Amino acid sequence: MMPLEQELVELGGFLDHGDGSHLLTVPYERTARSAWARPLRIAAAIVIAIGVFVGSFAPARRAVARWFGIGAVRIIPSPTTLPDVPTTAVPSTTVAAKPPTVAPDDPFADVRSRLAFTPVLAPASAGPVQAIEVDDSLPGGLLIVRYVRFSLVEVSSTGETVSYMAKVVDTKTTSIEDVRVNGARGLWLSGAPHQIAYLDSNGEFRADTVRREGNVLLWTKGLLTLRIEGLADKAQALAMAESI
Amino acid sequence: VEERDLVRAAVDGDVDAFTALVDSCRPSVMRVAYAIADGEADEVAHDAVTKAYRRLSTFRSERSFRPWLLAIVANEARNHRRSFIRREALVLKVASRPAEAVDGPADELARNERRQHLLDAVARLPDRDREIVALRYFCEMSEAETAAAIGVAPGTVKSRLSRALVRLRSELGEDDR
Repeated sequence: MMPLEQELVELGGFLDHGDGSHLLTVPYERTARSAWARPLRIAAAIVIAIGVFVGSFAPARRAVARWFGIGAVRIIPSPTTLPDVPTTAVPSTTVAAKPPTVAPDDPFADVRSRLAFTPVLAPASAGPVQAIEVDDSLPGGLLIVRYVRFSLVEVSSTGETVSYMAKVVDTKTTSIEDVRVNGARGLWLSGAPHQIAYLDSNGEFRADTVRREGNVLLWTKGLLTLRIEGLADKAQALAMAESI
Repeated sequence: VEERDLVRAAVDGDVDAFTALVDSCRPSVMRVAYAIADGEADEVAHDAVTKAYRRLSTFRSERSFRPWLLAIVANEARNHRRSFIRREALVLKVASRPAEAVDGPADELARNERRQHLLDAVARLPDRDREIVALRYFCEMSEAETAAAIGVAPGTVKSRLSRALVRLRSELGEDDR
């Protein structure tokens, strides 16, 4: 290698590019303010964030930590105490609620056209569907199928209809455990109640105040990211997930 | 743990494996992002790694991970550079700048000055040449890896490098050696 080439190699070690400590993090401020405002970014990933938007969701402050995830899901752990988000702060969903008159033959009949994915149901052992809700503000739509004992939440996790979602829990009081659902990786979140926020089609954070029901099993199935909320027992949640 | 095992695990959803893979490439990722995107390394590198994670299923395990990742970083940096007018000067780390070495030996000052001149010259290279210099030298990739990363023939890498070196020498006021 010639002297100039050697100089260039050495120069690489002197570039003031930062240490890349945020390489595997989600800087919320930037994400919420600009990056996700771009349609492609909105379509880029579902993000489940375990941690906290320090202070509130709307003016999302920078809260970065190492991220990991499942498929298209990203997770941000943070030991910071979870702020309380008033349940009246932001409307949660555009609801197509049909309780308790959901058609047993095709409970998705009225909402199928509003979803960019094929919805799935829990098996009959889950009992009858109590209500179906669709949140249109998420690209591709978010579906909540309510059963007596739990809720099944479905959202597209790939393609152009993917939305950005943040799962927020206080990691001091909530444990996160790796699990397997039919061989695929999943997460079992147990402990304190959690909150969910997401970016809507306008790239704005909105707090979802509906699903704060306790333990959560999160996993992916094909093009869907699914979660079961409300089953306290992990074994029961896993059994239910594996039957979906 | 071998890279192949990590890649297999990462594709299977093991984020720790993916993290380990990215960590092993972190300096190169930052250098490419920084050199091509005019200093916007953090944002570019972060977005590129996110895209890489989402594209893991397209990665062929017989390939090397680093060129694959750096190709994504280079592409992201290129797009970023085209999208934003604001440009920042490429600079050396604070600790290596002359101002921080006032009390040091004169040789060190001279070396730092030389580095900054060289970096300035790199920054003035045409985008394609700068990209290839960043991959080949800043990241110490082989010509074959560089070629794979930017999708050109190895001969093209060789000729572009040769041209870039001539330009750099000219910028530095040196004879072609």
